[in-house]
Amino acid sequence: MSGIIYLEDGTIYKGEGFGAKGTIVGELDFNTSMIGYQEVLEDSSNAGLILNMTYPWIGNYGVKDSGKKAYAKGIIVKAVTEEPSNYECNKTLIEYMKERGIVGIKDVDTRAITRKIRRDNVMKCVITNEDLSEEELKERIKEDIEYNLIEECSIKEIEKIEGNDLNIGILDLGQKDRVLEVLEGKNLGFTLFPYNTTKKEIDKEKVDAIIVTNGPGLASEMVDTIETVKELAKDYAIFGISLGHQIISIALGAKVRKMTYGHRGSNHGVYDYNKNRAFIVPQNHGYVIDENSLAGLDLKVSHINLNDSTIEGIEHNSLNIQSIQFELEKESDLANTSYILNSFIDSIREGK
Amino acid sequence: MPLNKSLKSVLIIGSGPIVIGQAAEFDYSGTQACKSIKEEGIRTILINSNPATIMTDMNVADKVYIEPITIDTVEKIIEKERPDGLLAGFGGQTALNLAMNLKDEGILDKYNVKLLGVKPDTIKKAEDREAFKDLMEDINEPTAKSIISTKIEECKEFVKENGYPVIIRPAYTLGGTGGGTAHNEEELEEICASGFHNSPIGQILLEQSVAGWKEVEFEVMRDAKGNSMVICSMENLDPVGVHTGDSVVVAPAQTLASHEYNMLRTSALKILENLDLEGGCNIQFALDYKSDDYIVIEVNPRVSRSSALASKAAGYPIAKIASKIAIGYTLDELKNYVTKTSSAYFEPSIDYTVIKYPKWAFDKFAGAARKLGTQMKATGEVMSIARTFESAMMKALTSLESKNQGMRVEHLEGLSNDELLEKIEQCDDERMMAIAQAIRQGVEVDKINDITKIDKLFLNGIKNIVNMEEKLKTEELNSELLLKAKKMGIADKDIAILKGVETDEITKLRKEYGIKPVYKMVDTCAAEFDAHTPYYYSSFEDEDENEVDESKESIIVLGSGPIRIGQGVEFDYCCVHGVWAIKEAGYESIIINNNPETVSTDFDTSDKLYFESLFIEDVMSIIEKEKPKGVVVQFGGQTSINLAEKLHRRGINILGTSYDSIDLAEDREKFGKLLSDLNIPSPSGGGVTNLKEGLETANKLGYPVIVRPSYVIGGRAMQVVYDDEVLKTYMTEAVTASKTHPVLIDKYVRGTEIEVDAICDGEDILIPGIMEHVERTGVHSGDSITVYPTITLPQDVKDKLYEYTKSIAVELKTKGLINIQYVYDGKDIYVIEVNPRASRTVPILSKITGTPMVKIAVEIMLGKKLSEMEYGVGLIPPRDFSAIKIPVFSTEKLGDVDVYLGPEMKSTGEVLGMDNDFENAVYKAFKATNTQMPLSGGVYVAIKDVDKEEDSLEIIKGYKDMGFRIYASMGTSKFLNENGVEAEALAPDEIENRIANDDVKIIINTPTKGNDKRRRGFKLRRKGSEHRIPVFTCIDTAELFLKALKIKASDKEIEYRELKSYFNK
Repeated sequence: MSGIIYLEDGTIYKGEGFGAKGTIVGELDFNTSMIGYQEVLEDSSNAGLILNMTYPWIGNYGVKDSGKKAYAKGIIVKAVTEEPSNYECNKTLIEYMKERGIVGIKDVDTRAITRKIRRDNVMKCVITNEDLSEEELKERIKEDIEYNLIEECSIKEIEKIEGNDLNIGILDLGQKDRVLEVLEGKNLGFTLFPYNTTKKEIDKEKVDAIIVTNGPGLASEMVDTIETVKELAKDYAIFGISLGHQIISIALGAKVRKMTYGHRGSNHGVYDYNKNRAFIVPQNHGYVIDENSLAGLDLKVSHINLNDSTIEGIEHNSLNIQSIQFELEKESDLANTSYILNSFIDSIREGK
Repeated sequence: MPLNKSLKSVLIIGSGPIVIGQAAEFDYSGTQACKSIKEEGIRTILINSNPATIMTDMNVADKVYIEPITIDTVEKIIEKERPDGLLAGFGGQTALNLAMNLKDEGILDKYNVKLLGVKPDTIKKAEDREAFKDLMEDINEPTAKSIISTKIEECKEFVKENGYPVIIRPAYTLGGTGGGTAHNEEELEEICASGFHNSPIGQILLEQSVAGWKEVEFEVMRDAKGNSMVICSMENLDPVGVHTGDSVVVAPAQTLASHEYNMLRTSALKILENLDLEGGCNIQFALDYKSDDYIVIEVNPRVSRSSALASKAAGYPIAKIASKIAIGYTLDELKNYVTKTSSAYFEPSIDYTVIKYPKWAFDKFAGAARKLGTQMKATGEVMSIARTFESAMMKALTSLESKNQGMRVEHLEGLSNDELLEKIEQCDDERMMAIAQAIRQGVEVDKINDITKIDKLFLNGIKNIVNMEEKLKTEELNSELLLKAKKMGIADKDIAILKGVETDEITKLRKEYGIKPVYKMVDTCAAEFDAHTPYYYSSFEDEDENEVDESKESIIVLGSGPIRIGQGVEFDYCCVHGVWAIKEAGYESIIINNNPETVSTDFDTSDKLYFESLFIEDVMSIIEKEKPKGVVVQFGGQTSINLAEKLHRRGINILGTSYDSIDLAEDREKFGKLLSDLNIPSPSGGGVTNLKEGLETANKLGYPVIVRPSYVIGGRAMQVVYDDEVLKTYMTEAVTASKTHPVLIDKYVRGTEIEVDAICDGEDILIPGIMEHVERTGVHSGDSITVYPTITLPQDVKDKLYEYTKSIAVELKTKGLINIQYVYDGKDIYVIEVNPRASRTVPILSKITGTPMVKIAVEIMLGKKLSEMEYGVGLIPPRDFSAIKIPVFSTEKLGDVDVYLGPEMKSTGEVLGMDNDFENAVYKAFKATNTQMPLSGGVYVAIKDVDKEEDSLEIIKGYKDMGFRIYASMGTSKFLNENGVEAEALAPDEIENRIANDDVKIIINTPTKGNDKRRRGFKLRRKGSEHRIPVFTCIDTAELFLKALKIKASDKEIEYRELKSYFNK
């Protein structure tokens, strides 16, 4: 099977195809995880993307398919393992991709592609393993990419999860599951809201606080959600994660800017001013809060990235509102960033 | 937390001589530590007895003590220097053990010296088996079922409960000395006994075997704030059961699923936190391949061989950062010095595959068991970087400089499937090749996995290589297939063999197709952000990231590859100094090397580093890319000099001594003629191409003769032969003589061997000093004790040596370094060997004479004359101190290697003793080797007939006079008693008892024939070495040792001095 990657600026990479047979138009981005390709595909913040994997040998331990949805549309790899080896593997990555319609291209210079994306930014591309001609690809790339990814990822109706402690509202921009997973076992009650729920509807549910989750898409384009959060900020304690963090920041007057290089892996060091130490955290974003836009606002920076000093977390000076750019971590035997959300919840409990 | 300002001076302990399990990696980490602390304005004081290292150069630390690394020596140095802190995490197990001793004896407290980085409590918890087990239990981390034991009965009891197999690990030893796996009671008794003996505290760990589980290592770091992270994960291809030093290792880990990786990562960081470690640490896990069960095998709370590998594999300078942490900095405050842009607190992301492949010395240790187990046997290693597993594997194999053709070994090709499977199960150094051969013969991957437990992922990788070989053999070599083969890392040479054509033909075709490698950067971040690391590897892909700066002329230095016997860290020393001198001269310096343990492959040594094999194809690809002014071949030992001809043929400019001169020096016939034209004698002899010629030549010369194959490193397969019978065996079993590779037979000239290293500019020469060997001819120069200045040579001999050296060097048109070995028989001086390149003695001689030999050589290569430089010409007069180099052997690690000294080199490292007094220097040097120095007890003597002479009598009498009891073999006792030295004759059985009873303290045994396991002498020497009794196989060594003992007995005050003080007058 042949495979072609066609970028919107006309650059072509030729390799071999694998996975589901097909042609896909999408945004091309990269991911630097050395392990965890299945989690990357199933991460809703990667919804609709074509991912260039920087680690060159993908599929080694196969897939442990638990029926979760895959959000990424295509992947590009240097090499893929056809005969994986791990006792828990129940199918190969290739089989998994075929079942979920994920198109793959292999045996291309993935490092060259990463460097291209880094230089020229995330761009539109079309990948195919269907023997299309260059002319045909030139046509296909004109297709619109569907940007309303959030609709696909967010829940459709308000849902409730009973618990015997608090009623935490979760405004689901796509990744409510991650929040629930992290807070699992604490007997908390939750009310889950679709991304487009109005404040009025939220008020009805009598929640004690609101968590705005991570999800796919661009914060600046989610005007309605920003408006809602702006309203909510007046009455509720709010916690934001990644996309949620950017929405809250914009709602409170900050601006986001596109980064020269995004943060796309699980290996960045983030400095925590409250703890006076740093943590290695996972993250996946190409936009960041513009530090200049904080001037005159009632916000302070709680976390920064140690590599490029970009903002990784903010806190409101007087209100109980805080948010983090990186992803949530579950509590473990190790000291990690899970304390941030935990202490937020403690503060809600104390405030009651 | 910023720099601890209260630290004004820091003492750093090195790792001492190179032995198996503790090699050049500690020169690399120690050098990094010294530099990184010195640049903070802290006075650095270094102690290391190993003179071949970069770190003992006068400019690396502020004060360098080349002195024995023993507790009393270090105490004296502490008393004198009064350091505020001690850095013990950079000198391997040696430094860590010493630091613990200093702490326990109250010396650190007495002088108020703070142990930096790793706290005493941390060392105890990590190193003491029991404390470690308790800690793991406390924090809920699983370890193997085990007992700590000092008695065999306890061990038997444990096995009764838990069954075989069990692993025995002696406490506090290097590279697992004296350990092993026992499958039955007999093995249990034997290995436990050896374990009790080898452990300095007589303690072993006996544990349930998890053989077959995956062996995974994590290199982690932590600072005082608690910031912690993983630098690199590594997976051993060989499952638990093979020492990680002998395993093929791949980085990052490849077969772990996401949750398994995270489980082990969490465990590693948790252990780090609970050890309260500040610095770098290595944690080894065993992970079951059929469940999530795992156990923590071991923790090394210091930088190690694995951390050197991880540093090079991930592009993260662990030792440098760890030393910054030790003096107060935290990770969030530091930058990654490799990328210059990113934070030091960033888990490296790798976008390539790294393979480490060990290098064993079984070619030298012909008799040694090649089976691999828990006892490390490799002397060195290579590392390869590539974008796929297959390519990394092929590159690693190419870097090993073996005779194999990729994954094909000729002598395995005739074996049946069953024979191959048996070999695979035996698990020796050739197992990967045997696996490839089995796959080639149709054995299923499942079957091999079943036997070896090597993960199928890797076995399938090997299968891909084998399949490619088959394709190359049978299919037409179009551009598509050739590109695929190159992407898999298969060398042009191997493709040519498979196709049955000449290599040049394949290379030509490849270039016609436009297939050439591009170079990718090692940047720690998988290209996520812009980095500026001048650190490259080749790949057959699209984009070349390596920009050649055409405004600056460059020079390439060829490295020396993996450490092996005969080619050790000293050649890395020369390469590094070569690179520095090139930089200083204003050129861009480029190094090609593949040894992850070395300073030469450190990120900031050269302007550009190519982590590549030193195979001609790979070297040429780089040359074609860089278009350098020239290539330096004289610093990387035999590895680089062997490339001279191939480079010359391709029209590449070799800087310094030309290929023609190199060839002239190595071609016996041409060189013989040169010597006779110059009227310089050499032992008569000649090359022979078959047995008949051999016998003729030997008889014409008269026995004894020295025989050896042509073109070899370190006297491989060299032997002194006394009669026809032995010559026959040698010519038929040991070597294969042929027209292209004749066997050389020389007259054996008995006398004093002399080592001359000189620098020549084509007209003048400079000899910084002449060194003399203590042992008479017949012992390889690398294994001889060497003395500076000479002790027995009269002035006229030295004058003559100068004249000879000058006329040979000038006649050879030498430009740079030259090493000549002479023998002086009391009357004449003979030339025995000429090496138109850097030699093993260059680092020592440079240091003890204060002459930067490599730098001068580079300046000459670039056109300068000695007469224009400040170092002078001629023979520099000897200095007023003595320096004694004593070789160090790793024979305890290799259970069945004869320890006798012969023409074949066996030592792995060396130490230096220096003092204004010759005897004191001898004492210091022996002390530095860690040889037991008894002052009473029994000396057992068994010497060969040729040694039964006056000299020997005097020496034995010397021991007797010191109060030793003399025991001897039947023949030797007769000789001794008849000549007035009273000796008790011991029956063969009796001697073993006396050794076991600790009655015999020294053995002097000069063998008639070494290497024969059936002979009594062999067993005696082995026994002695296993009990760590000094065994002298040359009477001259025993004589020198006596001098050392006398100093020890005299209670004379010995002063330990820094190197510079010998030059300040």
